[in-house]
Amino acid sequence: MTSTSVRAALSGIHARSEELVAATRDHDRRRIDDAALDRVRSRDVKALLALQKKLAIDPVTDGEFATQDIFRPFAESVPGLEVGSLTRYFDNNTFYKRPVVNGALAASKRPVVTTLAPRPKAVAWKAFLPSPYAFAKMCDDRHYGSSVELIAAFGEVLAKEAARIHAAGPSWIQLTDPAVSVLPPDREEWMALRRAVSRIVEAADGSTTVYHTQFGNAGPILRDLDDLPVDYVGVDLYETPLPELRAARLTRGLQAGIVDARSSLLETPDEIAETARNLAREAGVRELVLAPTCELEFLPRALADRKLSNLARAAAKVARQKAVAA
Amino acid sequence: MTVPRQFATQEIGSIAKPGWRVKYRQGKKIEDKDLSEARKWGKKIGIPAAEQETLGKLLRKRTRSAKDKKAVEDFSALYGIRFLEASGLDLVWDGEQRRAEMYQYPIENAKGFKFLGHVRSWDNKYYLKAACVATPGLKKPYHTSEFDFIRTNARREIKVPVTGAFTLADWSFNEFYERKLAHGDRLSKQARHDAKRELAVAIAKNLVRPTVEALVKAGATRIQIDEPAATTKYDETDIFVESFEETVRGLPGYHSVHLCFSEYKRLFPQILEMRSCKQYAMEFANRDSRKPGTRREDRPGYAFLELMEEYNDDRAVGLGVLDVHSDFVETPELVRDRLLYAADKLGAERVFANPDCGLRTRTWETTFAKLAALAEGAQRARKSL
Repeated sequence: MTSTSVRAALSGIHARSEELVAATRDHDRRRIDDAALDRVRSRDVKALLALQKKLAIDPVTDGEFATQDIFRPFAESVPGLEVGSLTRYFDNNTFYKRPVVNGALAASKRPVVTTLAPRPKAVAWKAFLPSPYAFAKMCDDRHYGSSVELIAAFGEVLAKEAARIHAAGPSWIQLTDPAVSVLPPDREEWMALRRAVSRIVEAADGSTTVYHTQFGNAGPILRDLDDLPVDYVGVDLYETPLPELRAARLTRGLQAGIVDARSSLLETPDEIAETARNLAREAGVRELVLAPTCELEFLPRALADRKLSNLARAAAKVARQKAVAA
Repeated sequence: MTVPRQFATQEIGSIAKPGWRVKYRQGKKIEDKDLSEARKWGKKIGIPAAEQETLGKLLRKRTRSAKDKKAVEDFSALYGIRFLEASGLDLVWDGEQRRAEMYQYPIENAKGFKFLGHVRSWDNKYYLKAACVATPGLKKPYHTSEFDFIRTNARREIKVPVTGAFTLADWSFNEFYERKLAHGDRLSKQARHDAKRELAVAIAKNLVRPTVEALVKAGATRIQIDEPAATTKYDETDIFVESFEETVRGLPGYHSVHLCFSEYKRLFPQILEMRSCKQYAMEFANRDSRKPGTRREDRPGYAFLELMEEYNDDRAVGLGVLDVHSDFVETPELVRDRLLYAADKLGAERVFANPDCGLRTRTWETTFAKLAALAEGAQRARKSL
């Protein structure tokens, strides 16, 4: 236990406040202008950054309150891609607009992932990219005709973006993959994914990297995930049985999806800390990030903030125990 | 008017609420443009001048009594009915003018739920999500008064949309049954599945069925159970089927189910057990080509029909021929070809024409143009047979 480092962090888009919900609706109905919407959104960003500061969270995120779905910023700006039809987002009452690949993909000339507030100087910034595999599986490919080629092409686009994120300051870059544990890759796709992730990690040039899976049991693919050249592998602990995680003996750090981002039932800091200790003790995890199973936007804002607080309190509890033990 | 035997046209769910109705309900000032909008649409959809005048007076009143509010709500429902009739539909409702939203409205009329806040569905679309915190129950049947008003005023046959039990369960947090089965431990996947079944079946028995029974008693003959969540979790198709059957089994009338925005093939074969369902009303246009044509390659969005053939499923289909998330107005030719393609697979008597889903996110102008194209396309399809 004494050698395990533990921290808390978000794993994607945060829940919008009731005020921002109302403002975005009003904006859509042309009742308020862009500036008025920006003011409300800025308040949301400030509140979330303040909460993360209060909870001593590092790395922090701006909540991605302007992001409509994980693919949209790319679908709207990457040559060869366009925004497609509304499609269910896995087993959720949530939808995304399926990107359509109409031609050869090329990196966007301008940054795709932008921040909604200046990056704080004292802590690292966590940015989110869709994984090349999720992109390939969840788009409508009308050009490449080969998932292996598509994974490689998305890898190049994302590598360019990772380099831009890294250039802006100390960063964590999470590749979010809602598809890989639900629709597992075949051997060739795994090889293509490994090559694509290598390109992204290379381009990120020393940023901390996370490959976060969600919505499915990662047990059967843990060894392949551990083979990806990232610092952390992210696993949904509500879908993945702990014995499988214990048996896998990950060599990477673990971003543990330890609070259920799709349930209103709150995990207490004690419960989370106990699970974290088990992971450290029984699964041999050395680097542990306590995170929500997926984006907290599946919850109303007040609950999302409480889940985040409980994560941070649990991380602090484990760290305190570690200090005493040391 | 009688409903045509082939390509009967129907609405699926809600249409947008008029600006005057929204502002009035919110206590906001009614402006001249709102009054002029009410007049413009009143004229277009056949609201008599005297009734338009009455509405105008109500909207202009400085004080708003409970009686006035009820009268404005009635006008909103009347406009909804006439709007759908004027667009040419055979089966109508009121565009759900009295319902806040398809989830919120029934939950507001239920016991055992607590609203927690808004959750995003996509982009800037949200719904107010509740948690089930006690055994679900019914305050009172929540569609009967709507039905009575519509029956009194409609000139076409009525189809009543009712949010299904599975969707109400899926869109709620399941605190009550998950706690009950957890016994203080983390729930296994199987336990979560069992908790979901308990919730969905309880909602079907205690909330939706009594509401449907009250509708049947009041004279409703066509009831559409809206289940947009049915295909959300494929390992829960059994729960969806069970909750549908618990809702309508043994009740007289024509019962259909509305499904949308998902991979339908995974519903098979379990959906074949849904014996009380006579029609699938489904979204297809969203995933189809916008070019006319009746060959298989022209209609990639309608592959589900082949699946029905494969499984010998002989139900009718409410064919989604309008994309509800786009301002693109389908041409009557495109609608006709989509219907003829389906008729070739199923037979024209088994094909109804409808939008993919509710059109509430479109303006009245766009909605009317789309629905008029739907009615015209169905007419042309009938002539083409």
